[in-house]
Amino acid sequence: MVRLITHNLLACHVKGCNTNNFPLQFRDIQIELREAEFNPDFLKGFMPKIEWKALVDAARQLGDTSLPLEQPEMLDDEFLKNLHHVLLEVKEV
Amino acid sequence: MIPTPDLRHLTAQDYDRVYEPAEDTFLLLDALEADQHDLKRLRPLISLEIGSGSGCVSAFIAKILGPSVRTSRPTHFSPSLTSSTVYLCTDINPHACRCTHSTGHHNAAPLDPINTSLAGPLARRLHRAVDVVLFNPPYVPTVPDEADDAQQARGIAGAWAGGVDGMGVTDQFLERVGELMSDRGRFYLVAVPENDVPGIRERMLRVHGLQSEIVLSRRAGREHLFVLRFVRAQGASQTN
Ligand SMILES: C[S@@+](CC[C@H](N)C(=O)[O-])C[C@H]1O[C@@H](n2cnc3c(N)ncnc32)[C@H](O)[C@@H]1O
Repeated sequence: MVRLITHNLLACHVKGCNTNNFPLQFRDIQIELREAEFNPDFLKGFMPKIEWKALVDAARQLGDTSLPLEQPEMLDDEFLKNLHHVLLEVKEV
Repeated sequence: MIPTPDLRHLTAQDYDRVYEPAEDTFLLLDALEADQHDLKRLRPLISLEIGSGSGCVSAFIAKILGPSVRTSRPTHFSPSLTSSTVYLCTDINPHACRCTHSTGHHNAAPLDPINTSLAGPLARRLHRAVDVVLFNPPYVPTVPDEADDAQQARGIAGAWAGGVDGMGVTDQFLERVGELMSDRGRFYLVAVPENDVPGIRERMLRVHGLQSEIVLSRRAGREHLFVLRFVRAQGASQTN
């Protein structure tokens, strides 16, 4: 039951875990969608904290392919809306 | 006045397993309300509550912060969740995480609960990234075993059993909180005199470069409760 924004901040801290264990893998995937208010300023502020590849991988595992493999330099509205949806509205349950 | 979060969805059965908001909770809410203008001005990106229990405190700070950073342009739908801040909430008690989740849901506050001890697996990625840290810890002095057992059992006793001086759990977190706080970050902690409030403050300044103020204190029955607020001491932002 985590939103991808949280999932992206979780790193495995168990002894014996290394960077390959990041991010945590999903099991028995089910997703839930919940509408959240679109806030471009928040997203721009949060961008530097995201591990981009992990986010794209997680989104793809959940069937969302809207994000580009590389973090774009131009943050246009369409990109931000996709990012918003993936980070804040998709929840793995 | 910021309204207290709606907790009507929580039942007596929930409160058999999860800490029911009490005077300590409300003192922390009052401290946050007193700081509401500073908190809004801070525009926190990440808020982290340790031991969120019912979720009351994080839902409250979401109420304080939510509307302040709404985008100016009108949205055509009435949004169900605000999204200007991430509200991460950890608790060792799994049922507390469920309660936190439903409290978020009932208060249009997007609380993200994680069932772990202290900052757990978030610590690495949250290095110096958290703008608001909140902790109303298990602060009641008990024999050490009682606190250890409570931590193992992950149930209701973990809400209060604090070990020697009531600091068994809090001390572990105080060692790490400086690594989590952003440069402009602030940390609110509930404490009682048995925890040695002056000692905590002195040590946090000396060892971790965090200066503190007592924001509020109140007597409630037999308890004398304090809320401390820590920020990085001027010139200390390069330590840790
Ligand atoms: C005094 S209650 C406060 C609950 C809620 N924040 C409030 O103010 O009403 C302390 C909470 O800390 C949690 N807790 C105890 N030890 C913990 C630990 N090591 N890591 C995370 N949470 C812990 C308990 O399960 C409990 O929910």
